[in-house]
Amino acid sequence: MNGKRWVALAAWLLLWSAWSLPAQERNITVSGNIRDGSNGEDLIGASIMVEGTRNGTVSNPYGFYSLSLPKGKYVLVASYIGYRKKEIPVELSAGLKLNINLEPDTKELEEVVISAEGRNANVSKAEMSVEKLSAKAIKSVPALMGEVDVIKAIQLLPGVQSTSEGSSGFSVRGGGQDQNLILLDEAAVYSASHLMGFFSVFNNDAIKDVTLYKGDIPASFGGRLSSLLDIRTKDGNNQRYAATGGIGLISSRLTVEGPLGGKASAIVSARRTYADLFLKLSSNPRASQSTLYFYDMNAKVNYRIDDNNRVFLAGYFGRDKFGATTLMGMDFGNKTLTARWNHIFSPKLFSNFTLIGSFYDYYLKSEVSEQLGQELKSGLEDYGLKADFHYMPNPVHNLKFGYNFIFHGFHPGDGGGIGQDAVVGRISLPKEYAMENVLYIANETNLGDKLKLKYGLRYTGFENLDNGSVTYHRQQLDPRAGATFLFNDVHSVKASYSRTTQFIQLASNSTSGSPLDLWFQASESVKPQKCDQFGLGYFRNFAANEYELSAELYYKDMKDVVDFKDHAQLMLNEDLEQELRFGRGYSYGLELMLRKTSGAFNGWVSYTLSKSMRQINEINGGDWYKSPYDRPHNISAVASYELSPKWSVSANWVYANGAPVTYPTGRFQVEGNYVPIYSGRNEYRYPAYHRLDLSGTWKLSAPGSRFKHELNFSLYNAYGRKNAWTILFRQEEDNPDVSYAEKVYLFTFVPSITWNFSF
Amino acid sequence: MKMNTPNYFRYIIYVGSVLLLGLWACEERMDINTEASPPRLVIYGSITTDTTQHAIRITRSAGYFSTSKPEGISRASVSIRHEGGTFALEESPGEPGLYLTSPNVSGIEGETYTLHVALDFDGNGETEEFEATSGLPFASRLDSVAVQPFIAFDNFLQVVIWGHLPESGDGHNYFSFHLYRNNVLVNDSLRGFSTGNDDFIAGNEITAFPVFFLNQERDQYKLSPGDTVTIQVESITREYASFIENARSESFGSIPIFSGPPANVETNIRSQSPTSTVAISGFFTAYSKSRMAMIYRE
Repeated sequence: MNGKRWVALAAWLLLWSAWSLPAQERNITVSGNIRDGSNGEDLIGASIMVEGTRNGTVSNPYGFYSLSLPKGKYVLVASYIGYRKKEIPVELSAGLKLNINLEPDTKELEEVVISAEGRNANVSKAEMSVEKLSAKAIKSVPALMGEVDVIKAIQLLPGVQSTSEGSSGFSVRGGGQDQNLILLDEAAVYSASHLMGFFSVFNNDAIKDVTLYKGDIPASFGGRLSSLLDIRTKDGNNQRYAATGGIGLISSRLTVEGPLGGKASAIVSARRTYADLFLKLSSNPRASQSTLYFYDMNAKVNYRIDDNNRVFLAGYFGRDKFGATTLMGMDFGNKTLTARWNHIFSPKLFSNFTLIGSFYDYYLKSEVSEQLGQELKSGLEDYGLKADFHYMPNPVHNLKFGYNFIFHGFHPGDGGGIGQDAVVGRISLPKEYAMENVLYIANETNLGDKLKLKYGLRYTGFENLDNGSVTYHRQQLDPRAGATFLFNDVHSVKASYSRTTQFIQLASNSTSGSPLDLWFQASESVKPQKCDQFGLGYFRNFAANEYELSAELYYKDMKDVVDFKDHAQLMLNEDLEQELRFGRGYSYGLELMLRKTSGAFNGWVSYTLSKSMRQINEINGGDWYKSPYDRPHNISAVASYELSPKWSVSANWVYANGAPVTYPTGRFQVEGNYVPIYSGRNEYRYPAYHRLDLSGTWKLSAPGSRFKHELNFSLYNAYGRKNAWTILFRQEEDNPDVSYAEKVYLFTFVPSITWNFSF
Repeated sequence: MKMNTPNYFRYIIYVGSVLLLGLWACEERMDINTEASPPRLVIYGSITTDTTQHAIRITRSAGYFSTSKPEGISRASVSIRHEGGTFALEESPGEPGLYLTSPNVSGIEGETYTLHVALDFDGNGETEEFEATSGLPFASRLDSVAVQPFIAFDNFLQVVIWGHLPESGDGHNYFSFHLYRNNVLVNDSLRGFSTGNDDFIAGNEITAFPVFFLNQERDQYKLSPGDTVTIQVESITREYASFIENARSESFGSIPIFSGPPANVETNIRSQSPTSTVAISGFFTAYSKSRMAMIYRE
């Protein structure tokens, strides 16, 4: 279908939605926000239904809902997992503003609730390939060194896997880690890891909602090929002052929140590691003089101007500091800023305007001598503007449209010798800039009680800028579509199609991701990557929606995927494009998942069968090869059990085929050392990966007390599996003609203890 | 002249990662089962500005976990030609696969040398021909050399050189460095190879440039008063510098945080038969040498 036809289709969709407008004249609209009654936080994805019917809707990411019904008396039922259902009788004769406060279910509040949304949302919502995790579920997952980590929890979901042992990089359905769009309050996070990748930048105490789209990405989002990880932080308790915190073996954290007058609230959340304090105790002088820590802070304030206007200001600031002795070191970090204005034009038209800034940079410095002192800095910045509209004309249509502008600035590198005595020259690569202008429209339509259709279109105009002039321009239309057929309230099939396009890519000469990776933009010689993804799913709930079963099939066809030539030089390379290679790829798989969403015992078991391949002419002799993320069998089991009011325990077990690897199969000698001759790219696999983690939480405070505190004990890799992080090949020192393989493994039996409190 | 900045920062990252991973990483020897790749023809050698017997070694590659030394290939016809003529190489009677020029041969700066090898590698009775070409870069001029304390680490000495870069046609110079202590080579292996380039420096002066850092707590590098320290600077081609860097990196193995996928090291040896199926590894290069010696005094 050519561009004109897509535009015609988009116009038709809009007109069709508008066509139904006369019907609204006969309907009365009830609208408002659904909130947590205990702290005033907006609830995202809470369900509001007309009792005895399938008429209803869910709250949007800002907690707003709108429901248009014919005049009459109804009972509205608002529900959200972990909260007491609320039935509200209403008589609709004129438009009604109805804010609903849901009270946490005190029993369920003590339990872990896996998913945070309506009770049968997984079956009834017109979307698939979406995973939601509650902050409480994330917290219940046993954590490496006690550091609760949203990305480590996500890696336990079907279709998602870690890029390497302990890494916070993740691959979704065979895609690369740079193909994940990670948003924190709508700002892109370009390097989501601390401590060389072992921890993510997200502080769970500040998080309200986590949604991972593995496919079927809404038309309002794009720019990455594989997934969208949408993380929303808390708005701040507007009922009372509260604090949450913890002291662990490697870090401490504190979150303070509370109302500011009657209309505003704020939250500040911070944490810092102190591994460097332990280093100072080391007998190794090199270790004792070293620096190794990270800190981060989330802050947010919101002000409700009136019933129709609310503003938010949110920020994230994080940094890693790392020094190997006092002579060399590096630091890197992200900053994001988001300013939002929610405006309700009418009970049926909700809008959100956002200004976004996102920044990432790193700095390396070495001062080993006056002659050899060197430094290197690199970074990027994004400035963005979003205008999103959500129009709910009647119960049949649900229309979203908007505009998005992003200005990218890339600073590939500036560095070299420091000072007059430096024997090292300097090099400064020119800054590069790009712009994305995006328009999108998407509609959800209910065709009767059983069939929901979803269709949308995303237009991107991408421009590569050099000294203010456009050197490359590309227009791209990405269609999105889906259908849901509800057999009944607990039983549905869904299908989806989405095209995604990625205009900025990561130059990474690292299989696990590194803070020094560079981003670069599409140009005349670097085409944007494209992916067409097809999905088909079956969803079934049991036992009053307490158990959820899903089976999803997907197929991804990728074009212009990027890889790098052998022995690519990516750092400070003025001719980076010469290092790139382009080709195609595909992935397909089956994801099965059974989960128990609430109750004293809850958790999930998932199994993924998948394949992911690449073909690039100049790599592997042009033959197809396994992508680095091809792991055919992948099993995750996550369980949490409330043993007593005082004790709860959790465990997770993961199994996956080893990652593909290129092994040496021959050798030749150069200057006395053996140089490997390799197999085909990724022809072999590491040994299978499996691991069991355990944790237990001992609640120290009495039930109902304001001051709550607990001890969390965790044991990572409980049976000490020596999973290969990498395999090195060595020559024996005494007998250099004997080569051998040496496995490097991390993290066996890592115990930790954390004291958590809240009041 | 400067160290290669990207490589230098990779080194910093390497040191940092080793420190970080040192907190958690353990190593364990393991068995892996791989199918040995079919044997490759390996040709490796050079011609330099020294007047000596220049060597070309021709071997057959072995499986990675083979425990024997490389098998030399005998009865090859080997020669090196340049504008001024051709040197024939004869197989060493004591070492199969090692082919040597006569002792009075030396390379000339600025000339181009082509290695020609003819042999029947796969034993099918047909002789195949292989060639590789390399220019011989102009030499650097060394004016002086010094051994100094290295301020950053008390237990290290640094070897520093002064001199002038060669005038190179394309503006890029690549180097490797070797250190002799009492005429015994100290960095005598691929992993000890030290390389650099002048990519980011204007002018052609080498001023107090540190080329070696010697850990005085290790016998291999320890200097005693009266020792003769000789520095040899080799002007090498960009292709050979790349070959050495990549071969050295592959010989170390890959660490996920800062290593890309492993890959075969590219050779400049080409078969002259378009239908040849012989896989080839190795390298032929030409380079110039400059040397300077000093007596170490504390």
